[in-house]
Amino acid sequence: MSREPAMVTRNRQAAEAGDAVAQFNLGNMYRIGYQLEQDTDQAIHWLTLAARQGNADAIQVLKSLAPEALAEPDAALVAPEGGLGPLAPPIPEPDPLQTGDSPPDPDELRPQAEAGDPAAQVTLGNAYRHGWGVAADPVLALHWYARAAGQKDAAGQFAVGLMHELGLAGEASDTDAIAWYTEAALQGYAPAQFNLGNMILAGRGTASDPALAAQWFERAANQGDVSARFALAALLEVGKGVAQDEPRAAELYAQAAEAGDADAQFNLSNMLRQGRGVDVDAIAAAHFCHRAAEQGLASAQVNYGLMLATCSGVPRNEVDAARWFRRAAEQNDAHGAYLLSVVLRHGRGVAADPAQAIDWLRRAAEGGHKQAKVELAEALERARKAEPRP
Amino acid sequence: MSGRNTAFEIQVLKDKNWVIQEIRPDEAAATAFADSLLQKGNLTAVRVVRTYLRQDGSQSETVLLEKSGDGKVKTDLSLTQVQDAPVCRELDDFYSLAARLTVGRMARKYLDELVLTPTELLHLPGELKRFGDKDRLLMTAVDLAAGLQAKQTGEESKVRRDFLFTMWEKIFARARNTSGIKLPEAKTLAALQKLAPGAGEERSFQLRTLMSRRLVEVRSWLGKLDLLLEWAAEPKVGDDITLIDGVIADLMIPAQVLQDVMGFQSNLGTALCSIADLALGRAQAAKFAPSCFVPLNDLFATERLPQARQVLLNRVTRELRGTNPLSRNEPGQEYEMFNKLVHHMVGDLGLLGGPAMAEAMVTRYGAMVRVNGQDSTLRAIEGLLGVLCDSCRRVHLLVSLGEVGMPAELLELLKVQVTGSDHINFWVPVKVPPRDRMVAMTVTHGVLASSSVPNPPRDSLAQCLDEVLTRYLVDEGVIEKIDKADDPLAMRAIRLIKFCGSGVLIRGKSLDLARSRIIEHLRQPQFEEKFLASSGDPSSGEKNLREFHRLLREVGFA
Repeated sequence: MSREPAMVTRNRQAAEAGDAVAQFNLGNMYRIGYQLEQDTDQAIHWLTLAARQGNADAIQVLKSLAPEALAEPDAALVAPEGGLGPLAPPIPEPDPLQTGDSPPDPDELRPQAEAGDPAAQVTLGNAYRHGWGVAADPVLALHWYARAAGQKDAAGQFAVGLMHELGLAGEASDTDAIAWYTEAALQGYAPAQFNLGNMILAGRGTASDPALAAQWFERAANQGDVSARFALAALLEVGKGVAQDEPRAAELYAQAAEAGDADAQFNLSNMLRQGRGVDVDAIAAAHFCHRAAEQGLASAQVNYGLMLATCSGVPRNEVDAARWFRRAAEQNDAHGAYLLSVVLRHGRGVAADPAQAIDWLRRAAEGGHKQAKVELAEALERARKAEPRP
Repeated sequence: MSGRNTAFEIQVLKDKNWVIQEIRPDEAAATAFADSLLQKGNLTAVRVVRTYLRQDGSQSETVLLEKSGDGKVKTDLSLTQVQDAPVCRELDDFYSLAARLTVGRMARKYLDELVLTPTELLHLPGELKRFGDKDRLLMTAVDLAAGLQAKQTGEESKVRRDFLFTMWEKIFARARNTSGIKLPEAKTLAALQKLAPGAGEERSFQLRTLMSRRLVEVRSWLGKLDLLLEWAAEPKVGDDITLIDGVIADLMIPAQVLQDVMGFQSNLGTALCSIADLALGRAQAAKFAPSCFVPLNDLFATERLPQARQVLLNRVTRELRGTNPLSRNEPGQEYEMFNKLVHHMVGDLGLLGGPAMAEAMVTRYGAMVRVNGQDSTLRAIEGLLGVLCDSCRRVHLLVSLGEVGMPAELLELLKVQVTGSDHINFWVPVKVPPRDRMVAMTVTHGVLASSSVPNPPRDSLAQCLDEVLTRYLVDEGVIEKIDKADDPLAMRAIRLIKFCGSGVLIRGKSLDLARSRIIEHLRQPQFEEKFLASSGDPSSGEKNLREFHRLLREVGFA
């Protein structure tokens, strides 16, 4: 049997590891029979995997393939008789909707920006900052933001403040950032009000003043700024800089949670579970916790795993619980690692695996988990005693 | 005509949109400018539009002149690959919504270029001829459709192709036969209706042809929509609203028209939620939405546009099944946008868009969380169930997915879902008002009981919902709250019987529980005397008693 060309092997390994570009390359090689035998099924398989990850080239190639070919089932993924089988791949829409989040065209913006339109200047600055349609260039981004800011444009002032705060086009400067944020915030620009509140709360570029921070959060929150709603709720929940007001905190968390803020979903979930500021509602608590967990918040993943393990607001499901503990643990969450070690030790929802259990217990201990440290010490002691004496 | 309220816009065609290039106060200057633009070249087309501002603030537009450029910009009119084509057997099938949807999607570029709906194309001999003569469009379209249809019918592609060509000739001949009628001056629907007397499909065809001839004069999508909405608002529209619905459905097929109608939408997820809202007639006009948005939404709200609704939901389904991100600018919000969209499409009272929508949601979820392998569909469904916030929604999803056949894994998921949700709080969120919670339970019970889920276990599963609702009625003292001991007997009895007949209770244990309370009242000695005595004055007492007996019969006591 002849060996596969190195180029194919390299792409195959990367494709199998989930690399979208490699999946596209491999699919294309199969499609045109380059370096390996032409195989439409394999081509569609790899192109579909790449397309699922949003690879535009793969989507384009899939579009161009004949519908007959697309309709053919992937040989490797044939459904078992009568069962649900493998998932149908997404089908690119040939006449897709264009919406407001389509990336701007820098070439179209430039004449307007040059002519002094501050909105175009900020958008062009964003294009340079994020590399939309042009090579990313933070210095040019700052240039266009500064031109808008020079015209007292609030979005421009905010953007300049952000560049200074994050040090994206030079050395970071809290003092400059706070000055620009203040300019924009005074004009009523909500994102600037929120960022200003955050800097004041953290005492960056100015003395820490939670009461003043709360005022800025309040102003931004009243304009619907989701992050500000969360930040204000967090202060109200513990009574920092403002009088403690759990019902209002829960209300603000709920608003931010519905708008998709993962931290707000997690905190609201806790309040619903504990009945703080709201009536106890374990099912709603589980729902919000799940949403935060799905967004990747490790602490929510741990809590949701615990809810599944203890049947709190959701039916008991130890397999899923173990899966969520693992997701948190893989994000270096010490509590998640500890809980994963527990389920691995006892074989709850996963096959028992003492070696892996110890491994995760060690990671939890290294992450500072107190109980893990104690149990790890005990386990090591047991192991030491069990060793035969020389 | 010129004057203070009249202006002449010179518009040029850029990327399928007419863009104002210049405004001149008189027609001659506008025409001269338009000609000079064309002579410079590089333009696809230019036109002069007279705009007139009426005293009430509304504006009318008339296209005075339209000229094509020298064709330096070659327009791509090629057909779009579609995934399916419904099988047409009779001539009338070619005018059906499914067929027009296929034509609308397949010949999208061609129709966009000519600003033509599938209805206009199929009814106007001139347009049919133009399509037939254009390059190899007709041949390719027939080949493509025949290939897709032959897969469904098991015929040879060639047989199907010959059939489609024969039908094309018949469509052409039919269109030609009705082309002799002279259009009236008036542009109202009433004027067109007078030219198409009689009834039945032939009359519908005639009226559709007349409508098409009027519509083809309007060279913009929104202009056509405006005209259709004007016709729909005419007092004598009657059943002809169905024909108007058909053309509005055609107009909703291209993405461009939907974008124009919906106004600014921040991302795909938001746009799809808004489109679903429009389909139900509960959408809010977005920034930059045109004036036609409100009357269109009103027509959807009054359930007068079922075909257009189907097209909108078809669009949502296809975009959901597609690859474009729901939240392009904020990838971190992709899950949340999906969550929002899913809860928009699956409510406690049912799933919008049927099995196709349910499958599209599974596909999108699976692609989003990247499930792979032999059991990926099952895992995607399990994951999607976790996204939904309550069991009513989960049952709607599972029943819908199982509508075309219920594999064992799906049935198992349904069983686990139903039997594991032993309290109403699992079924409908606590924050939902009590009446709505009961309605959700009853509707979900009805959907499950009448579904294609095999029996057993269908009836026993449906019974579980009845038991949960019964337990809720008892735990919350719902009947006691309605049948307050301190209230007059007449009031209590009427309230109870209305509760039984309101449809909020499942016909089973929960309804029996409420009915048993009524029976208790009826069985007490001298019920009617006590009823009358509790009603206050005798005349209203008699009236209340008659009403009570009527309601008793209605609820099935008699």
